[in-house]
Amino acid sequence: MRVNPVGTVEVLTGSHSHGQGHETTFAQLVAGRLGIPIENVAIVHGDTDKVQMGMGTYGSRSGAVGMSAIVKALDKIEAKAKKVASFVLEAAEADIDFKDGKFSVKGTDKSVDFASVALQAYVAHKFTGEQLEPGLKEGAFYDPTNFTFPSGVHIAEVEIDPDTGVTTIAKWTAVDDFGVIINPMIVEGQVHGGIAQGIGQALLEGAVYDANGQLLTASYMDYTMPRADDLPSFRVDHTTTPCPSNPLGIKGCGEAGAIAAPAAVMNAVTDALGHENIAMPATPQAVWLAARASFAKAAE
Amino acid sequence: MPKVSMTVNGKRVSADVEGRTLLVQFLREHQRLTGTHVGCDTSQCGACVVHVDGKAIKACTTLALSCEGANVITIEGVANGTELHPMQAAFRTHHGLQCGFCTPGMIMAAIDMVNRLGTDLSEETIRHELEGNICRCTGYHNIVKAIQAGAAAMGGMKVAAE
Repeated sequence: MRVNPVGTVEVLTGSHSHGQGHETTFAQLVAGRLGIPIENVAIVHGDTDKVQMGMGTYGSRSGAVGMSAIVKALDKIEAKAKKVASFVLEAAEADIDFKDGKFSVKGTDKSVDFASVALQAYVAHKFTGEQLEPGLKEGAFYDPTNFTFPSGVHIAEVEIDPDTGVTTIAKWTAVDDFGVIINPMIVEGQVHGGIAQGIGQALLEGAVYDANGQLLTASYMDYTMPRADDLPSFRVDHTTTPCPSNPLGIKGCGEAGAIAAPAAVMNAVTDALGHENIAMPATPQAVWLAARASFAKAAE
Repeated sequence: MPKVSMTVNGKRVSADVEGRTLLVQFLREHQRLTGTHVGCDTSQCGACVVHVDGKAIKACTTLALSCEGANVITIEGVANGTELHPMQAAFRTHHGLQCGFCTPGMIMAAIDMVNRLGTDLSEETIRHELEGNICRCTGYHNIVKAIQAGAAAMGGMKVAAE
């Protein structure tokens, strides 16, 4: 985490973003903590010229693990900045408070803003090199102490046409507990995408090979991706039980939809058909055959 | 090599191209307009949608030569300077994108939808019309919301202009 002399901040993170919105969520965290405008925070990722080490974004961990590392770096930045502020404000370090982007001396109206402290950290006019090493740049690594345990319920309401075997998702309701949420819009977006992927897995998507090993589903002509008219809008909500094992109380969210959706869809399909032997993807043909088997059994 | 000329985002351009050059190659490689994406190369995913003479087409399966003299608009041509097109702004406001790969095609398809069907679009209409555009990230939920809002905003813009 590099604080520039003008008070802008660059965060070099090993958590790569390819659509998960880290540039927004991570910046929100840093801007909120330092009391600076969000546009003053740059999130740098995915460039090995700049970021020394990264292991990507996977396992719903960038919030819980990546942001915990950012919190640790923020702790160090704040501690160092307090030292600088104590020289600027000519007060004991223990008497310095930091709130809303301002360092102030307890019980007085003396204060200095974050950007001024950043500049003083580098120009070092208020302290000597012996008293304090100039600069405001810190790094942190974070190794999780435990897994996070998100939980939730997804309810799929499906309609099956027994004549054609086509399954329609009529309604979707999901409530998840991701612990503390920094950006609800982004988290909901992750859930939407996961549900769509899970529905695709349950009903549409499958890699099909012929007997000679030739892939038959080699393009989107044959591999059935979920399209907009295969899906409903989703009703998504959350409860908040902070995670005890990381500083922000965050649990993983990225995979939630894709974990819950296949099970919810297949439970709904088997419930509708009274037939448990349906493999994913439950294509119209598979559902039609299963429906016929159920009807035949009922007629006996 | 044959020469092809067309208007791209209001600018007259021409180049000598191989006969097999696709419109999307002409735009991306000759004109360096890389906002138009190539996803599947088979007309399935819609990442390459541009407007040719006012109609949305898939540029990955259109020969550049077949666009001789045409008026082509790409995603780079829809904003007014630094001011986003209302449909672009709606995608931003409603979190209608995650990785962003499908977004240029989604927005060009959405603007075309409004041009053909008007500014008051139902969710059902939007979902049906999006049949030719695939998104792997969003589950379409916020794309549908964005298009509905963007269409309404385009309506407001028209009223203001009249």
